[in-house]
Amino acid sequence: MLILASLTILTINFRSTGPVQAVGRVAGSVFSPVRDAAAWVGHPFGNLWNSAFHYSEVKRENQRLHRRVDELEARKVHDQIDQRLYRQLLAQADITYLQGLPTVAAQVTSGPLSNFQDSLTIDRGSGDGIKVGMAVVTDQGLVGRVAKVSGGQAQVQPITDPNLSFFVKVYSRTDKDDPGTTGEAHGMGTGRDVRISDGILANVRVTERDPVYTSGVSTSTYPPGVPVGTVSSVAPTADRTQQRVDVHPYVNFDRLSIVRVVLWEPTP
Amino acid sequence: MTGLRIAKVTFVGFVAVALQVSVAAQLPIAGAMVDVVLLATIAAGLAAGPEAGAGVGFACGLLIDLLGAGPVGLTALVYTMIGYGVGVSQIGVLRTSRLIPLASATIAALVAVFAYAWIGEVLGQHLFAVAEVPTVALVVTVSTAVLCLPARRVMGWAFAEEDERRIQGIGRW
Repeated sequence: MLILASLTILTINFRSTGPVQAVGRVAGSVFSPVRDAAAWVGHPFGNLWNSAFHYSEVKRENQRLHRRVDELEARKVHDQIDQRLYRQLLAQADITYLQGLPTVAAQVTSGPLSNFQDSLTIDRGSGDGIKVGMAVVTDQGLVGRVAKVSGGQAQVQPITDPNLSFFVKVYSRTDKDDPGTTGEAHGMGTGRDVRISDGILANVRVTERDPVYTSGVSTSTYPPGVPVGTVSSVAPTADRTQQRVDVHPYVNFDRLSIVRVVLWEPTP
Repeated sequence: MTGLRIAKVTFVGFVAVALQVSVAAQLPIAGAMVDVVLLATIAAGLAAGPEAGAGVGFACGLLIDLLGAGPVGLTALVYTMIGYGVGVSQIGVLRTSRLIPLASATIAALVAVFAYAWIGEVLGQHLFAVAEVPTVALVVTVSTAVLCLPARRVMGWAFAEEDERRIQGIGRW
């Protein structure tokens, strides 16, 4: 009977009808305080665990940060004015790509809940105007989309999730007048690149390090012009009519802390 | 099932889900995490039989599904079958050896990981790409094998009837 019940729930869920989503929202809201409390207790253990098992990585990161600090110190002494200008330009740049769209800042509270999920949990929900399908970004670029929302939190499906596909545009790094080529991208799993496997014809010139942005086609759930990453490799498809383009995301998913949800929905 | 028993089982199931979403999720081993809910399901099957295993697997699995972003019902379906299977595997066991539940739990954990990934693929979820299935299988199987005996004790406590415990207590005197 329980197996039948599970199959029924799965069927209802795949048909995207209201009750399952509503129950999910309620469960998320009810369980949220318990989860937060447990996460608060477990967080120091998590840090200790990560330090113990990623010691060499932490050491390397520490050395890298020391070098970076030295570099910045030197730059500060020698070129303070240029650095200030650079920061201002950088700050403007990360605003301009959203073209003034309203956003909500959110903190990433946890990663996937189980082994077969590729999702992030953020501490903002429907009360903040967040809806399913909205784009999640950082100043570096596109993180993913909101997959599920409850009262005070939301689940974000990252662009590395193989179950998420979205339209992108590849622009030439050298040709400033390039209108871009649209293709459909999908994730290939945690820690891997994103792949454009459809839309880039064989005769289109695509090279490594070409920038990739969201396309903004009418069916896209993302606003146009959000940076996705750079082309990491190009290869012909099996039938040689198109190109398979791998894109290395700008966003480092291991170090996500603060993200922004773009309060934008495509016009129907 | 008495009210106290229901309360105890609910409490243990709730703690298992809380541990999964807060502690286990923060302590990945080689990119995979210990599956506390699967552990609770297997422990229930070992301690109290097929119906108990299926019930815990269904309820805890459904709660995990509702809290996560994946398809609702998939974890419930797989863990119901695993809990029931583990319970059935203990019915004909007459010897009181620790190796039998240990072996049952290990096999069940391995089957659960591949069954989950395979059923997910059938439903179009690309789960073999989402996770490194062999790594997940290794981490889940080893952790379940290590923790299944203590977990069985906890589930044994949760499912024990008060009367039985009193009789056992009198017997000891």
